Amino acid sequence: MSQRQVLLVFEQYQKARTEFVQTVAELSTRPQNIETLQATGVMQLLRPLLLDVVPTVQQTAALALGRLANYNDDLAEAVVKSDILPQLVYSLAEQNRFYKKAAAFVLRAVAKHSPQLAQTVVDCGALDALVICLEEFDPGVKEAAAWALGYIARHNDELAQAVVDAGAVPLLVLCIQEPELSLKRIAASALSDICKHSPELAQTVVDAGAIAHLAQMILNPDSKLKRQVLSAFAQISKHSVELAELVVEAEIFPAVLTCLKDSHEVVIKNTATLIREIAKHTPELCQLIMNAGGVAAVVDYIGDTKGNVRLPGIMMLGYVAAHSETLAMAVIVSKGVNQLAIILSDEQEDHIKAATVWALGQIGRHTPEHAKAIAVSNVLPKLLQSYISPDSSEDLQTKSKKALKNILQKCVYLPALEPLLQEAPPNILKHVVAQYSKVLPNDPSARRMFVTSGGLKKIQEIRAEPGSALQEHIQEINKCFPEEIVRYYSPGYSEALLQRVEGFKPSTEMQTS
Amino acid sequence: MEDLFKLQQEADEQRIAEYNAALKIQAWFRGNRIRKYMRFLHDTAAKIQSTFRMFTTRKRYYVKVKEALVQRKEAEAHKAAAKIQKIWRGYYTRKYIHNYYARRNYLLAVEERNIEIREQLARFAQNQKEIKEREERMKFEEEKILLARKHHYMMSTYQQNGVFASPWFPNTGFEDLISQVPPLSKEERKNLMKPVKSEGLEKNSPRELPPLKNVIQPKQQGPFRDPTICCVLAYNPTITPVIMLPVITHQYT
Repeated sequence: MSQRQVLLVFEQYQKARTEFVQTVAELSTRPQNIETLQATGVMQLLRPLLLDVVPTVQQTAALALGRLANYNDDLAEAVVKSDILPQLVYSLAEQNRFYKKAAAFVLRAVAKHSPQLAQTVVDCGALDALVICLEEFDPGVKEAAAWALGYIARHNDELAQAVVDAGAVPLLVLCIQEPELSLKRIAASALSDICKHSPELAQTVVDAGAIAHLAQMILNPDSKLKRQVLSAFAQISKHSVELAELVVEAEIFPAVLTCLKDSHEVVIKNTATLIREIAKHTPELCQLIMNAGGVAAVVDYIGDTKGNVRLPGIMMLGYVAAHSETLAMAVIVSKGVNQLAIILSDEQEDHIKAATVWALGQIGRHTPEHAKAIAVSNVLPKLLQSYISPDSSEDLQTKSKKALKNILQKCVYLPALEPLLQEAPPNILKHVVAQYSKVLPNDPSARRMFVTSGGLKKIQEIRAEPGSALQEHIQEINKCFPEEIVRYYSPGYSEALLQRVEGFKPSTEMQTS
Repeated sequence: MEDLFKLQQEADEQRIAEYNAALKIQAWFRGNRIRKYMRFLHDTAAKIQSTFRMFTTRKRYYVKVKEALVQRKEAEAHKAAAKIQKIWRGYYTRKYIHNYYARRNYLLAVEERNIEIREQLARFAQNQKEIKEREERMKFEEEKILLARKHHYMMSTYQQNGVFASPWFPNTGFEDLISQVPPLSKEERKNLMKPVKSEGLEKNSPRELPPLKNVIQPKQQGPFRDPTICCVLAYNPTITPVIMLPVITHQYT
């Protein structure tokens, strides 16, 4: 009987431990409980339970610790300070798969908050253990390990390099080929986090053969997976021309354009970022995108979406147009200018407007044809508005001014210049007047329009310092017209006429026959 | 005497006149002769000078003619070279540097490609939407059928109209659906009501505490239901206790 009683005591203790650990694990899912738990010093209590005899208790204790550390970085610091990490890392090598999953969860929860915490995780030798976990059979373990590695590599260059040095990259590439969807997602996200820091890291990932496998996954219907894959491609191709060419050689165009029609905004945004990073580098890559119909797809997408999602698309159009004038003309042909004009009137955010304005400047600065295409879509007054308006940010104002200047220096389409003549400040006005002084000497019908539309009147009213370029242009324009007309429109002429009327003595003699 | 004087005076005057006349004639003749001689000298000198000048000038002239010829040939060569270069530059620029027709064709091709791609993408988007809609509709149908199977016991009988066939409410067709689909069998119902088995690590159902394993429970004294059954009942009252009877070993002292 006494034996039974002794056993009963131990059973009760075991039951108590299990209950405690399971309740703590459940409570730590709710944020409002966590402060209370922290106040009661739950960390110290959970630590010895990690070494418990019963495996369920160990696993649930690890799970509870992971959830606590996940919540905020004070708790993660507490986990680190309580010296739990070396124990976890040691047991990562030994225990069964549930424990490995829980331990990897704790490591990930600690590493996600800041680079210093991630560095402590790395210093405990977690990387080797995690990489060993990546070779396991169970996909859940692989997923947890890949997630932890991804969070470690996310913070900065050295940590990503440490992850790569531990030999994680080939294993992650193997993980991508696994059939489980969640594992693919996490592995793709981890590769994307590694690639984003530097060209060498991206090159390492590419050398492991990641591009071919990632390219196959672009057509997968799952949106979260597509999002990670596209982000990985964008991070790889942003560093250098060779990497971008490698990405393009994987034949992602035109399949990747279908991702622009996805239902999730993040997928669309990542696709646009990818196309933008590729288009940044050389005109040949832009031409490739153009030939695949990418520009039309991007123009449609920026028309369909709103807000920050369309920013990469706008920048992409700017980069394409900046390379050469044929590409800029092709952007115009793809109805890019109309779309950008619509965006300029619709959007409220200043940074998106600034990007639109910059893109328009890049399109219009090449030749008079381009400038005419921009002027015809009635964009110049809007550019002027964004330059003058006091609510525009500094950035928007500088960009509008530059874009206006670039476009005006090539614009010879006079009907579009007239509204600017009325409203522009002096530094823009001098460009407008310069353009008039180029066109008017040669074109008589334009001269007539100029007079009838009140442009000549406005020119006379401009006060310019003698000797400045503005004055020279005004004089050139005045030379195109007869003397009387110029005098007629000069300010104060009506005054002068009335004075003459006052001074005139009518002849009082009546002519008698 | 006066006549002699007059005659002598006349003869004197005559003599003087004749003398002057002779002087004039001689002066004129001498002058002529010398002038002629001077003229002769000037002519000879001129002829000598002219021959000499012709000789020297011809030499210089030939040199100049040669130079002029060389220069004219050079000028022709320059013009010819300029014409060749002009033709070549025009050709080269039009073909390789700024080929207007190639550029125009390229832009036309870009436009066509754009139209193609826009059509393709529109079709793709339409496809996706249709697939999604279809899936949603199918899910909805399946849920309806499952509901009908679950509520089999609400079917109306000969004696009593069921809830879904009440004469005071419009016919929604649910009653017919119930009579058409087979009811759930015992195993299916148990499978439906079984809690989702999770390993308890990532996905957590907070309302259900995981079952206690490896625990020996003493039987409570008194008319109490088994605690596990109570736990399940508290969270899922549609189960009748007949269905859920976990096997628990009791240890008696």
